[in-house]
Amino acid sequence: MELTATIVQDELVERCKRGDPTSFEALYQRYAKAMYNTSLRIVNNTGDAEDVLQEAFLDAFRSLNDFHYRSTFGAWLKRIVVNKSINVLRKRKMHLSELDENGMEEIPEEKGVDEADIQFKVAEVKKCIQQLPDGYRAVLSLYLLEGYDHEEISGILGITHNTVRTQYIRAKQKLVNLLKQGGLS
Amino acid sequence: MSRLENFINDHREDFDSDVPSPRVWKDLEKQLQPAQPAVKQGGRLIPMTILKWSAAAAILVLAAFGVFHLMNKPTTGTEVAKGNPAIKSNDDLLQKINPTYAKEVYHFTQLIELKQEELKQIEKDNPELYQQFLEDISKLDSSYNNLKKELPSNPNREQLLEAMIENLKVQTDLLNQQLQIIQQIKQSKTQSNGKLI
Repeated sequence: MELTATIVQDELVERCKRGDPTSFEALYQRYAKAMYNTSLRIVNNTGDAEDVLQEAFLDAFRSLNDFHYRSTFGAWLKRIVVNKSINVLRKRKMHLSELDENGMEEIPEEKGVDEADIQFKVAEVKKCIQQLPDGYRAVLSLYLLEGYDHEEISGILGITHNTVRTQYIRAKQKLVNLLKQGGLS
Repeated sequence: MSRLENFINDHREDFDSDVPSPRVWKDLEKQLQPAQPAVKQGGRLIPMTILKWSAAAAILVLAAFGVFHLMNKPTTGTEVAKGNPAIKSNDDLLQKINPTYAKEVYHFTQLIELKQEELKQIEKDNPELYQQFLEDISKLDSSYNNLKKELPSNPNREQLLEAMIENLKVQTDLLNQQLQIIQQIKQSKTQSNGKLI
């Protein structure tokens, strides 16, 4: 099933490469929602996420000839979306350098957060992720939801491997604390 | 893996719950379109303007030839006022150096011949003035011929050609001015004639 799905996707991409207007819309509809959510999790603002979505698709459509199936089209497009979203954070002066400074601090592993007490709900987790500071939210989303590994995230954010690891642990702790508070209130 | 990580993993799909506004695709579509129809539009638009202009140019050329023939008829057989007869024999060389310049040279020499023909009309009525005009032109024309002589041996042919074309332009301008003067003389004459009658 996955194989046929891939083939269909490729055909659609190929038709777009040939400049077929209806295929552009089909390709957009196929990925728009996922890409929008990816961007929204990073930029945390619907207006910015929509701008990113539009720019990313425009870039992708215009540079389709540079796409050679080294990854799936979705992964290629997602990387464009992620990079653009991170740029939005940078423009907002997200303190990636600050992340770096704090990164060297040793963090006690899994310090006393009792996840067992919390009953997770998607909507609540989403809400709490939104409350995280830009840097934490970016690292946590890229790792937990977008499926990038620490190595890839360090490349995307331009921070060290170790910083990614420590930031992720802190982000996760903060998230659990927020969930706990949310559960209590 | 912690419980939180497992939970997110298991419900990954549910996290993509937000939907982008339809405006995004509408804007995107607009931005994508210019890239395609623009080519068609350009293809349609440019030839139209070119057609219009070339039609106008064609009419102008036809009119010019008509005028030329009408004016030429009474004085056929008389020699052309110091023209550039060697130009056509030189065409091959010009063509070799720079085809666009060759075209320009041809165009201007044609124009100059035409205007000289026109100028010749006043020889009968006003031989002194005609002689004066001819002298002015022949100064330019001799420098043009010098340039032309140099052309085969000059290492910087294109530059020389440019100078030749510049010379021809000046000749054309001068002829235009001369023709204007003649026009003014004619006008004042007819006016004074009218007064006499």
